[in-house]
Amino acid sequence: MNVIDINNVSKVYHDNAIPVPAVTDVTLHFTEGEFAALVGPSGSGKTTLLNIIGGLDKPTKGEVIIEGQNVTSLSDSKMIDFRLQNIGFVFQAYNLIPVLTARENVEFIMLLQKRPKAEREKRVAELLKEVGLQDKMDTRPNEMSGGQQQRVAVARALASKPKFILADEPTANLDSKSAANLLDIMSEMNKNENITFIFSTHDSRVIERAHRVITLTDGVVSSDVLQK
Amino acid sequence: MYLKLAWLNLWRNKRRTIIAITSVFYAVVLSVFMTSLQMGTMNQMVANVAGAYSGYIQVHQKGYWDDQSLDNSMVTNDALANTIKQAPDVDESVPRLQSFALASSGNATKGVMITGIDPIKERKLVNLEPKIIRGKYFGSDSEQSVILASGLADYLKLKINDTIVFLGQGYHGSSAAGKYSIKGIIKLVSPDLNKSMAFMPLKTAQALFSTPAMLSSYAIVIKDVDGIDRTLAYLKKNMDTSKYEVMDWKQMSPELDQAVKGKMASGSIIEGVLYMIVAFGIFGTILMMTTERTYEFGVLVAIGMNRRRLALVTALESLFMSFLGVLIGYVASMALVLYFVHYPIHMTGALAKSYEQFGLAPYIYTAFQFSIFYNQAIIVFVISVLICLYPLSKILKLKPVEAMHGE
Repeated sequence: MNVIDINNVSKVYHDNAIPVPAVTDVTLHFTEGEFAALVGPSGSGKTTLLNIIGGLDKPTKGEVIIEGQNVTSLSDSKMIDFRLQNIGFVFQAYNLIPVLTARENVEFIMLLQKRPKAEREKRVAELLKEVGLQDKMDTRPNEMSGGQQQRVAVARALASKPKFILADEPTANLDSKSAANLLDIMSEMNKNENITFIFSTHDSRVIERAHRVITLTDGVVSSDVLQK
Repeated sequence: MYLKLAWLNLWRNKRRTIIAITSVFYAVVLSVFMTSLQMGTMNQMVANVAGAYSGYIQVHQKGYWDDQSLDNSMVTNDALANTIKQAPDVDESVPRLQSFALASSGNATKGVMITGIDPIKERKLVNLEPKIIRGKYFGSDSEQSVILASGLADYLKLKINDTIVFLGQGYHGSSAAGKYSIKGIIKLVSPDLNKSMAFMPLKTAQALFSTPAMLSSYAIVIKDVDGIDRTLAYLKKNMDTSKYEVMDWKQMSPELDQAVKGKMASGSIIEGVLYMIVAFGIFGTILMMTTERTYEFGVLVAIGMNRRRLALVTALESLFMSFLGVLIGYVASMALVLYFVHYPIHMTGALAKSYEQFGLAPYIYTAFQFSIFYNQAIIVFVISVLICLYPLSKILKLKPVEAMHGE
């Protein structure tokens, strides 16, 4: 069963009333457990497409269906709740809440989901152990390296038990070692727990590890390749 | 966790938070201090006249106030005295006999206001004893002596134990003449009164003016200045108003009442301007904070925090900030006002003279009234909370993609 169906999605922005197409007639389908990369040069539309999949932006045309639910028709507030329950986000700039510790950052999402305290505490400990940060649980983001912060961000994205994770250039700010480490963790989660990851990236290290590489050129899918 | 998050967020940018708290702090201190000065000056104006001389309420024979002659004085009346005593908030009813006379000593003469007082009861109103700068207070209510205001004593070149002669008109045209020794000299705050007042025991004054057992007025000392209306209403209801008139200080000194109202109106305008300045100061800080954190707000909405919860956290931050500013400002303004209650601002030069021309002491007083503190604190708190609606409105309309792109 498909986790995500993107059907004929187009997005047109307007710059001083001049229409600027960002993505045009994109149709893609993602199944559970995919480890896919959306690639392409800057301005190719990969972040726009990721935003549309994540419900952060609405398409001008077409629809996005997540596990049978047409999310393009959801209201803003329903979409926020849908994201909370179904989608995990990892951003290029980590975007952790600076005043909270690693533990609290991961717990925060579950708190928004109103999960019981005992469950929150158990899952936080498990996730931070999985990303190798069990000894940094009470550390604040500014006391962690970029790689460590991004691992907390991955744990946070997973905390809500989402159907898939959208990662926008997750390795762009990381050195080689941290990037490799992060990719190892995400790979392991994908392999062992069948978690679906969709990246937007132009980092060759991510592209090499992806099972599926979708190339966007000027907002159009120019290739969609499965790789070992 | 929302409370914790709001509290921690508050201290993320210490400088910004301190600036915002300081804005609220200054707003509270300035508004409290200004209002307190205004109220203090007004209270002092009223107290100089009503609280320290005329009494806040007086009872007279009907028609006395329009024609203040001894012929309109009233006979001492126990039933009337009892009615006054039973009125709410009445601390004392002080009997007085007042009239004008010519005072003479050597070659100097001067028109003076002679007030016959009950030496014991008068302690609760004019209370001459602590104002005595030379000599002593009356020992009985019939001794043949006077206490003079220092300005008058200086003018007549009189010292303690010297003799002063009074010449005037008594009851129903009789002549009033007598000589009295100077028992004490007092310094009155109001320069006008200090140049014209002479006090003598009530029975001595009644003998001088041939008005035995007669009074010009009962000046009423009340326990709670805010309760004047209550006392006034009781007296009007329970006294024979066909024979007696009851007047409060506003009726007796309409010019003072007008001055108080004028001062309050001008004070309100200045306060309004102050609130606007303060509001813009706080708004600037909040605007800065909102702009600075728009990206973060976008991220939080993106990861699934609904706008209402985000607005709640931001509102809590603003409430903490406003509350801290108000709390510190409240304490500081109390200390400041209290200091000036004990050490009023002493004016000198032309300003002092202008105060004296209006019969006021050359001091600026502050009023220590709890109502001022909490009223101003509430006003500033409400202003700062209203201003904080701005980030809330931004959050409730926030689009995560636009926020993260800094649009």
